[in-house]
Order: sequence, then C-alpha cells, then structure tokens
Amino acid sequence: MPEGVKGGGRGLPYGPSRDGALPFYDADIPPPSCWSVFVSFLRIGVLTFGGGVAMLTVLWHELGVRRDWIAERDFVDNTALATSVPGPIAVNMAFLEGYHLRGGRGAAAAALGVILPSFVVILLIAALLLRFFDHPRVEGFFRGAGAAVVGLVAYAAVKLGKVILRGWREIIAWVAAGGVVLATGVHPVAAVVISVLLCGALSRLGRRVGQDGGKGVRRAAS
Amino acid sequence: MQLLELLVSFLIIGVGAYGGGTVTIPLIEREIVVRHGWLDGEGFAEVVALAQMTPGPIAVNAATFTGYRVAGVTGAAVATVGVVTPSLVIMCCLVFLLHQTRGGEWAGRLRRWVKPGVLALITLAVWSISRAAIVSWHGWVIAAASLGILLLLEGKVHPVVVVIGFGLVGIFLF
Repeated sequence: MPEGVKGGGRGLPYGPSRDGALPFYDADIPPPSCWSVFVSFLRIGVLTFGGGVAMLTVLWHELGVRRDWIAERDFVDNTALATSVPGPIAVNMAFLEGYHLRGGRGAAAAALGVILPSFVVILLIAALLLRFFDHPRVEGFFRGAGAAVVGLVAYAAVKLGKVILRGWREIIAWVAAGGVVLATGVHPVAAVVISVLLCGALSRLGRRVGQDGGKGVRRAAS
Repeated sequence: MQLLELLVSFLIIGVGAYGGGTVTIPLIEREIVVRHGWLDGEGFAEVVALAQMTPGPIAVNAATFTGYRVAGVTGAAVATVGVVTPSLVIMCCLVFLLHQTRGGEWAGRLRRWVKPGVLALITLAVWSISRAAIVSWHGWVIAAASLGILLLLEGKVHPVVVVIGFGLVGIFLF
C-alpha cells in the first residue's frame, strides 16, 4: 500500500526515496479546511509555554495523535527542515505543517495562528498584568510548569532520536555535532554543518567499503 | 525613525534566531540592551522571564514586549512583524526550491544528513532550557517525572495537561 500523505494535504517533495515524485492528494480523506488549520494552530499557540522546541511535542500530539493529520515520517522531515534554517522554530514549523496540510494558504493560516496568541497575550500582560507575575503563587506555578517543559523538550529529543539514530553513521554525527557545539560554544549552525559533512564522508566511506566487501546494498534510507 | 530602527533590529534577530532559544536570547540582549539601550539589564531579565512563561515562541514574545516598551502598540506590531518576516521569507524560498528541484537526489541526501545535527541541537536545547527553568532539585524531579509520564502514556495524555499539572504542583512546592 503506498503510504499517502495523511490528511490529504500536499506533501513536500523531499526526495526521490519518497513514494511518488511530487505532492499528491489522497482522495479518500478530505483535507482539513484552512479555518480548522488556523484554529488548530491557535490552540497550539495559546497552549504552549517554553518556546519552539517544547512546541514540537505539543504539535505532534495535536496534529499526529489527536487529529491524525500527519505521518510521523513527514513530521520528522518537517522538524529537520524547520530547525536547520534560521528563524524561530515554532514559526518555521507552523509554516511547513500548514503548507503540508493545505498548501500556501494553509501555511499562512498556521503561521498567523501560532503568532497571534503570543502577540495578544504579551500585549495584555505588558499593558495590564505585569504586577500579577510577582505574586509568589504565580511564580510557583511557572517554576513547576517550566520544569515540566524541560521534560517536554527531552521527550521531543527521545522521540526524534528513535527515528533518526538508526545506524552508526547517524550516532557518530549526532555525538560529534553536539559535542563540538557544547565544548567550543560556536554558533549552533555548526552542528548542522558538521552533521552534513560527516554523514557525507561516512556514507562515501561506507560505499567504498561496501564495494570491496560485497556488502554494498544498504537498506534504503528514508 | 525609532520604529524603523525597531524593525531593523528585529529583522536581524529574526535571521539570527537559530537552534531553539540558545542563541536567540543573547542576540536579543546585544541588539536591545547593548546597541540601542532600549532596556536596561533588569528590564531585559524581566522580558526573558516573561517570554519563557507566556505561551508562544520566545523570540516573538520578546519582540512584542520590547516593541511595546519602546513605542507602544505600534512598536509591538512593528517588532513582531520584523521578527517573523525573515522566517516566512526563508520558508517560502525553501518550499519553492523544493518544488523547483522536484526533490532531486541531493535534496534527499541533504535531508538525511542534516537530521543528526538537528537532533544534536534539540538535545542541547534540553540542557540550555533546563539551566534557565530549573532552580532546585525539585525541578529536576518534576522534569524527570514529566518525561516519564509522556513516555509511559505515549500519546494518551496531552503534553499541555502535564505542564499545567506540574504548574499546580509548583504552587505548593515553591
């Protein structure tokens, strides 16, 4: 069974190992309307504390588990793209997911949905409620919630790790990329650059070893 | 004139925001406190604390708040537009590029090869966020418990419920 793009939306043409060549529509499942994409992202925007990476866990729950709009594979691909380019991860991610679900208009709806709550809530707080945040009970709430957000981010890391770390090449690249950035404090973009260079080198090496040893056929990575 | 400076500053921040909060906050500090002096150190600490407590992306929160402080509601709107514009433009270009190349061979490889690096960024984000959010050992217990709950009840519990639940615990604990 060819795995369709869930939700009947437009998939991004990520690569040749994909099912078909280009985005296609699954006729069985009607795509979500732009309005419901907007409302979903509004919910996500209102509900997520702690920034973009914590939002990944909430996004997956809302779109992948609760609504069944996107397959895990596509979610991981979108996460990789959204994180490896500049810009707040939450905005990048909303754009890609929205595009995935409903094309250009979906992307606009999702991005607006995720930015609007942030803007409105901050304005309200800055204008009216600033003193309220000094209350010890409120501080206690946010300390507890903030610590739980660390768990959310760790969960996103574990979940992605299960999908991404499927061979020794990926594990080497992951450790090297993280280690260099942590040890030297260079700009985090170095992690992505190191990963690409190292994976490229290792897969070339692997192919050469494979040709000699007759084990050249690797499992088609997706 | 000030609005224009605000716009330019947040365009820069929007381009520089990378890897989930780790570089964003120092970058905002450099632009707003050091270069323009729109906020002092204390005001900036307040912005960071608020940006992390309130819903939404931290860079967007910080933009709205700083913009409001500098030039009222108009300032907030200008700064917010500034911080998201680079992101939206880059995404449009990327999607266009992906369609143009029809997902060629190199795109498939690149897509595989960036993933370990992205995972490294997210793993590092666990560390950098925990340094800001966790102040005592109670915090570590809560973080571990929230991770445990999410892993054990895989998909059955909404992550937001976990966060709010531990927030309520925090009222009595801290």
